[in-house]
Amino acid sequence: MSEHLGDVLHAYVDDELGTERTLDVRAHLAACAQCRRSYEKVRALRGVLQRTLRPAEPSPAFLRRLRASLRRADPSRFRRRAERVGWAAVPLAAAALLTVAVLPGLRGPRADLTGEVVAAHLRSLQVDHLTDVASSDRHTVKPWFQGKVPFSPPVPDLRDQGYPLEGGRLDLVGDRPVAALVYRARQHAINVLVWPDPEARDSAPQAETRGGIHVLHWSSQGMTWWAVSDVNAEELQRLAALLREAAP
Amino acid sequence: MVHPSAEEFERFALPHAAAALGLARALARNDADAEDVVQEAFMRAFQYFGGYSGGNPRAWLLSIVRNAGYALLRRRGAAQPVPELDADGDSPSDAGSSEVEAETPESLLARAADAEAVHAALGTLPPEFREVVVLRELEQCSYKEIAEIAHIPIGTVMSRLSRGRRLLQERLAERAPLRAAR
Repeated sequence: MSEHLGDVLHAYVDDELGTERTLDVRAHLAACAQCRRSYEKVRALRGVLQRTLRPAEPSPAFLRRLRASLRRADPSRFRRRAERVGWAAVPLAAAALLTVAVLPGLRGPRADLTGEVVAAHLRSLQVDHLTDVASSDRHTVKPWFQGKVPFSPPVPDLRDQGYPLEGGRLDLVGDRPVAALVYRARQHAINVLVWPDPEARDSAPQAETRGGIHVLHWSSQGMTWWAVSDVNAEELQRLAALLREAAP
Repeated sequence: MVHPSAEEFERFALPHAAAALGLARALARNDADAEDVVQEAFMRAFQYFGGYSGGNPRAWLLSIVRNAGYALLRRRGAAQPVPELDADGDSPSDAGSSEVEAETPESLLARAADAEAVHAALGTLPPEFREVVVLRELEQCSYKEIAEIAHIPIGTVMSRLSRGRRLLQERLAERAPLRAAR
């Protein structure tokens, strides 16, 4: 045989040839030492690649960001919510609407932190998004964060004080992975977002309200805390005081 | 027309997030840009999802990821020209190829033992060759799928794989003296 296999050799290695051409290539390989060498080299290279190329592993933080951006872009969100829940969830629908009002602000170069925290709270109220780990046991919730955030968040147990823990969630504020603790006050969810900020000085809770959502922010021992909910402001203050007591 | 919800799209698309990231990484060559490429592509795919008419979901998604990846490379190219091989991927001189012919599979294997060397060698290939190599060797795509993703005929898939693998063998061989000297 005069001609060498060339590119067809690769289709043969990749098992992309039909039966007839496969048999032709085999016959050629049996007769041609040069093509046999090429064949062995291609196989060796494939072996190296199979061993060294590792599948990409999307990080949890990346997946969360991806899903959050898809949900923000979901045009069917308001329609479906209105269909499913009717009047009972008017405050929730209002909350969902507020997300839209808040988010454009996030795209600016200087993101406003209160807006981001409120947006995180509102996102969490959407379907299936409140908790990643649903448990009232702090000994389940706290270790869950291990390896998911680069710090160990305090997870106070406030059940006896009337605020049972509902679970935890990994969230993003800006591009920062934060620990979100979810407490329940009657029918209201309270999101408590925690992350380390070594430069923050200890500060007493500062209150802010955005469209009926109350936000309290304080810093203590290098951790920054945000409590956010649509419970009344006094109730949120009470929870903040309990958290500060339990995790000074 | 009712637009599908984000949840529906996620069920469709998220199983392919790793493949998407793998292709984006092969094109972008760094993790942060690769994530941006995937995010941009998934947003666009979500937008088009209402008009998706069936077929291979992975190929459909990856072709959108590929477009976003090339858009990034074009933006980068406009900002900072990267010296590359000529359009058809031939190295400037063919001086090394006789040496490559003398390569035995065993020596190739021994030299390419570490992933770092392979990734570095892969990075020197023009994008149209690294993408077919990664789609084939990492994602195990068929020629038909690669053709669909890259919008090229199946014959071109074969010739690009052939050229891409040969370039890769050469690059790994070129690294040899360096590594032996260490």
